Amino acid sequence: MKKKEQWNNFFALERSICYSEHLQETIKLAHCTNASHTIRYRISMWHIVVKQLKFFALKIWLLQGLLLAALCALFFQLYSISVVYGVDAFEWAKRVLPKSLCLGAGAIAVSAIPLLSRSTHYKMAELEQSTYFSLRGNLFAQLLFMGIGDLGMLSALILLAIKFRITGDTIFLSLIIPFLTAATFCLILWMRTTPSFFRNAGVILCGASALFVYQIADNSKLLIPEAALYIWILYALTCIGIMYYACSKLYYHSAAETNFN
Amino acid sequence: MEITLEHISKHFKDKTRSGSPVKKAVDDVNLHLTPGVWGLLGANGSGKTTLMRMVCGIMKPTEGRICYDGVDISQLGDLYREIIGYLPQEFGFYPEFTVQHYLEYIAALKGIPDKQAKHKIDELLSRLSLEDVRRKKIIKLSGGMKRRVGIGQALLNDPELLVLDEPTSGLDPGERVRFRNLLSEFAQNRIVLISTHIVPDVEYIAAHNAIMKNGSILQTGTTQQLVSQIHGKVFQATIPPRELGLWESKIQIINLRNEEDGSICLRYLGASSDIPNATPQAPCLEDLYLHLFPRS
Amino acid sequence: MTHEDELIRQIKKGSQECLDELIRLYYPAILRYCLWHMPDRESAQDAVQETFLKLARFIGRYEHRGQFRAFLYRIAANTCTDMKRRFFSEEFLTAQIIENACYEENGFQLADDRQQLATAFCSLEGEAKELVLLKYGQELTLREIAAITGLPLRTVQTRLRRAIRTMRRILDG
Repeated sequence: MKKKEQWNNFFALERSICYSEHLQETIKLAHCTNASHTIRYRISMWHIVVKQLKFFALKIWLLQGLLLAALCALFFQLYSISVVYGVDAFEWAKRVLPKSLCLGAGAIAVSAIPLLSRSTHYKMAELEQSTYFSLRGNLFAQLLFMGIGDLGMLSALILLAIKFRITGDTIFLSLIIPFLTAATFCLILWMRTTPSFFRNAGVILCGASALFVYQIADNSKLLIPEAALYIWILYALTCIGIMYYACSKLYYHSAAETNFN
Repeated sequence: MEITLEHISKHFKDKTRSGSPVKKAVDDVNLHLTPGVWGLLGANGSGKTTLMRMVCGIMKPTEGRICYDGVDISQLGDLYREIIGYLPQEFGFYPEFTVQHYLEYIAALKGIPDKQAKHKIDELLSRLSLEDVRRKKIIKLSGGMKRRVGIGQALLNDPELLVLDEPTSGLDPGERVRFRNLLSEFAQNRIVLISTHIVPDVEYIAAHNAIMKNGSILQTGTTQQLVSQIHGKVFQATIPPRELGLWESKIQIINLRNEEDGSICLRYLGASSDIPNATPQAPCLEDLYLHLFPRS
Repeated sequence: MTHEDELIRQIKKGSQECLDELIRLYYPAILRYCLWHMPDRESAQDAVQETFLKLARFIGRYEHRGQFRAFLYRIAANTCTDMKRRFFSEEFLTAQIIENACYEENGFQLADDRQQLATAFCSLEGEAKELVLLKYGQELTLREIAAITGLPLRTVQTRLRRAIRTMRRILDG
């Protein structure tokens, strides 16, 4: 310890150095410098979100609404066809709904892709990147609006499932798990691949991931009925964790290199 | 107010070749930018856009550092982009945007409060003669008007550093003259960095120029300093058309013009004895540019 | 919220008194740092002043995320580098540092062990010297040192350990 103390003393240069006069001079000059460079008042991130609401939110929600309407319309069209053919439509619906929910979950997650690609597609990314809020402001607002829209769509599908007396754990495994998987995959692809790859291959990969994980979930219910639900709850929490990490990384490091192609 | 580039390099992996060779888009660039208009001249692919992206803080250099008033910009982060106005070479617009909406949107991303933004947008639309089209969709405007909108967004935050990447490409001559006049007006008390391969666009407004080739800066200086090196080497001569082929391979032709009487008027770089009756000409920046970047 | 956080918050609101206090708080440490990098007290004081003027210039816009010391030291490091490059050669600086470390202000030579420490310190490579100085002279955390030097945390740990081992080897003979 004596050696450490010796080193500390040595590097601290312990000797009397009179600096009060120079310190006063520095403070005086610092005042002038500080005064001549005015502090800029900036709007907050939430202010940007409100602005983006005006520009983009309605478009995003309209697109998602149309997608939901199309999914429901398709389902009810098939439902009414089965009624016409004398099939027990309610039982048919109950049988078909889990897989339909999975497809719906994939579609909801995948609907984010054209929206997230907008910046690069319309060649706005480079300019947005050079602003104070950079791509962060955009990203935060877009993810927020999409998240609200996704929640709305998921709620509508859950209500539909409840109407057809689908159990809670089936809804969880056929809607929530595929959605979280596809959404996580979508975010990771967006972070790790080029914008053109994301636009072109992202739709297929995210949709496929939803279907794939649904199959596993469905089989696991048969193989390990007691443990399945708990494992999938853990999986869901992991997905949410990864999504949170991805979003915060994108948020704090948005001023790093961006591929503009 | 100054921006200093110290040993700036940018390397990319060259995916077109096997192995993993490195392509140097920018190679050991040193520049000291002070208030005024700076022209960054160079052919396409000389690294101008990459350099400008690094100056704007949207691309990190592989080596070296960029300092704003002595402080490394990587330390300042978002704060540095507050003082920047940038117009990329290729920029687009969301199709639903009107001119007003677009400027409001960019103003928000620049963190400008509403009242200030409104006032600034009105002022810029007036100065850029865009008031009549403020509620028109941008995609329906002409190329020149779109560029003016682009300049407008770059000036929203009263930037100390204005970076324009090939701002006049695609514009007709009338628009280019107008652009030049606008830039002269806006260049007061700012660093304006303009990259171009159209030399006349900056020749009369840039106080300093830097010439870039293959990622490196070949030369920097005022226009006078740069052209002085080809002083006494620029000539003009008239030749019959049949001799053009003969001279093309012997001298460096800058420009040629067909005269009314059928002869050809040549502007070239060389010695006075090359073509008989050649008259010496005062060199300009475009002459130097063509001397350094000969057309193959 | 620490006292420093509160000072920065007030400075952003325009408080000159808080700016004064912040400068008074860090002046001795930054002066010590500059004395190790510059050949004499005058140039060290110039470097300190330049550092705080740059701080005053940018503090209004600085986004505080608990890394203020690293921010300030990086400005100091860059300022010293720039001034050294403009005015002094590396060999001259090394000789001066040893002399500064070995002599009191009044000209009396310090004890042999301090002289030995000075020689051992100066035998290190530039980067290793900086790491040792920041750790022992300025008593910064490894995380702060990593932020100042731009090196990963692991690298800072490894190189610091290696530097100390080298110095110990020289001191032990």
